[in-house]
Amino acid sequence: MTAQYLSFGALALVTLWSAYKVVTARLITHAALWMALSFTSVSGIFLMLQQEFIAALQVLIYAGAITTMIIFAIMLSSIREIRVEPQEKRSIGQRIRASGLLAVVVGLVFAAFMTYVYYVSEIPKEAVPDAGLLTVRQVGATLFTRFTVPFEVASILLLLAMIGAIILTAKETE
Amino acid sequence: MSLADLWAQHWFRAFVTGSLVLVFALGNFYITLWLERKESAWIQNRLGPMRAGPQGLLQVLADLFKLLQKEDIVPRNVDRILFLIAPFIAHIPALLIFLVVPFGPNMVVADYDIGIIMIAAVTSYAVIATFIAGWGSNNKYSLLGAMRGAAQMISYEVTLVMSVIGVVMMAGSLKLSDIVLAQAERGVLGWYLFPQFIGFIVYLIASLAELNRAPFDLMEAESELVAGYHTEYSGFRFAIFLLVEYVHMIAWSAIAATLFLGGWVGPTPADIPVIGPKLFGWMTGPVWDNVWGFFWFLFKTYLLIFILIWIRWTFPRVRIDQLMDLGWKFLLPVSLFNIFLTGVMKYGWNVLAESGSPLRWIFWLWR
Amino acid sequence: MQLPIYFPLGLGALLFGIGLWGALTRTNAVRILMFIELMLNGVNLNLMTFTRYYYPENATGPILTLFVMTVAAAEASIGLAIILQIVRNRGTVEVDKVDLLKG
Repeated sequence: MTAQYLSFGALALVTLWSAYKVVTARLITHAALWMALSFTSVSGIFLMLQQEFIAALQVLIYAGAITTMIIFAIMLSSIREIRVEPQEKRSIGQRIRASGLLAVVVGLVFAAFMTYVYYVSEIPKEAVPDAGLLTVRQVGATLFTRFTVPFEVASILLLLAMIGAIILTAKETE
Repeated sequence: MSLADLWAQHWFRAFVTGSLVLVFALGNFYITLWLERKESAWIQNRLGPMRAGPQGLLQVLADLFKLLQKEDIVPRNVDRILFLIAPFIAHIPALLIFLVVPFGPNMVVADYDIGIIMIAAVTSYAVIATFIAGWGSNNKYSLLGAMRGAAQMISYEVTLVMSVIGVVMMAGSLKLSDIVLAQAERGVLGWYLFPQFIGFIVYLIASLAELNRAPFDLMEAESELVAGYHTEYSGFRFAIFLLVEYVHMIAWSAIAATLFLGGWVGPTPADIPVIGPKLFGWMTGPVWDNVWGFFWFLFKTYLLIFILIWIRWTFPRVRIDQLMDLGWKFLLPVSLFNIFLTGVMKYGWNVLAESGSPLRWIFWLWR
Repeated sequence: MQLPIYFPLGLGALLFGIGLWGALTRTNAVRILMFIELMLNGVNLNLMTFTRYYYPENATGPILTLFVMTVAAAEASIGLAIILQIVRNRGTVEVDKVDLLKG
């Protein structure tokens, strides 16, 4: 039992700290790398929840594909701002606004409120006992029977995204 | 067995097996590095290292000691923390792959249901590690090499996964031990090397590109980029990059041996027709099965490593546009065709197998 | 799972909150995309928590997460392509500098 609390605590700490660093990191590349760490520790929590398939996909899609894509976008877009982000002189009022105090409050209040709701609500707090593992086979079978249409729609969405990205970024050739 | 259980209850087992995997990786790193030096020498009509130990077997040790003695130089203006941790991050995916590889009938560290997806997932960290090394070095050649490497690795990862799908379709499982068992039932001709020959070739090429080895070693193309992302590295951090490269090579060869060459499946002395059971009958039982399984697994892995080294010292480096064309315009369509072919052939066998029609032998290989 | 359910759910909410904070304060378009991914991660975490705690035999939760990931990937690729276009045309990635429509 304690092992569970300990591992969850460690993973949660890493997740939150790296998410915090995504917001506050000065260099945008550092922010991207902190984001990869955050995704990785969330995948660790998925492993704790015994969802190996989703944990692997989390790493594959978020830590692998999306992080790499964002890194490429950084390299292609803000090449002048990579090393040092602009540091203008600011007045105190601007600094408070820039630190996003209001936004911090909004985020924290949201999180605290949600946690409070979960805490006081009547839902059972413990997992269903004797939970069988969901196999990839089951997920696949459900995906291709009950969710065939959403699956196809998702494929079309990906195809459209791919075509759109190519059209948007390809340089015009004479 | 899920990783959560492993954590909670079997930490000791995890510790021991993890250490064994480390020992396996390091030991084979040593042998592979020696093999690379000798094989390149043979190909170039030289003798290779001969002085240190018999046949130069201790040469690798001498090299590593030389690298460890060197000063650990951290250049000014590097992104210090990233520069320092990059080699260790590069290490993670190389070793994690071994978790799901079955070394023998009962020798697998964590037999995930999702084996192949897990391999594909952990490989993505190799891209991030490369980027961290290139970015951390604060050197334009390093960064260029790293971005090239990242583009190359993500392009070929798609192809790599697609080339393996055929095997998954035939075995009906993503679990690597299930795939080996399915091949064991089919006999030598049933190894997925034969029905999945296209997949095997595509896998071989794509894994070469994924490994960044010649002829695809564009991210460290020394004639253009000095040494790519490890230009600034020296001493033991460079040694770790070297280690990572070879451990990766062993890992990809091990996976290829598992998926296409039947993994640990192979004859034992007790299988020799007449005299076998009498003379070697005592060589049976679970322990000996594992020993022979491990032997065959290593044999097949080293066969593939030999081929990879052979390719490296035979072919010239390709250009970056040739590389991308090969990956996206040739290998990916071919691997998709392989998936299609596998599906059609498997369906054909399923339809015709019962009928007794002579046509069914066309589909026999894909049964 | 002995862990009370509000621990992972609270973590998901916090992750969402941090993403919200970032998305509201930062002006770099690439960073805003990152925060959207963080928020989606919080959502995924909640989905998987509910799946594990109440419906461990039901594949709907993982599949919904799968779709969230698909949409996230599509959104990131299109978003980054648009950002690249903005950089080419306007020379900036700061969203508050992209104000052509402002009167």
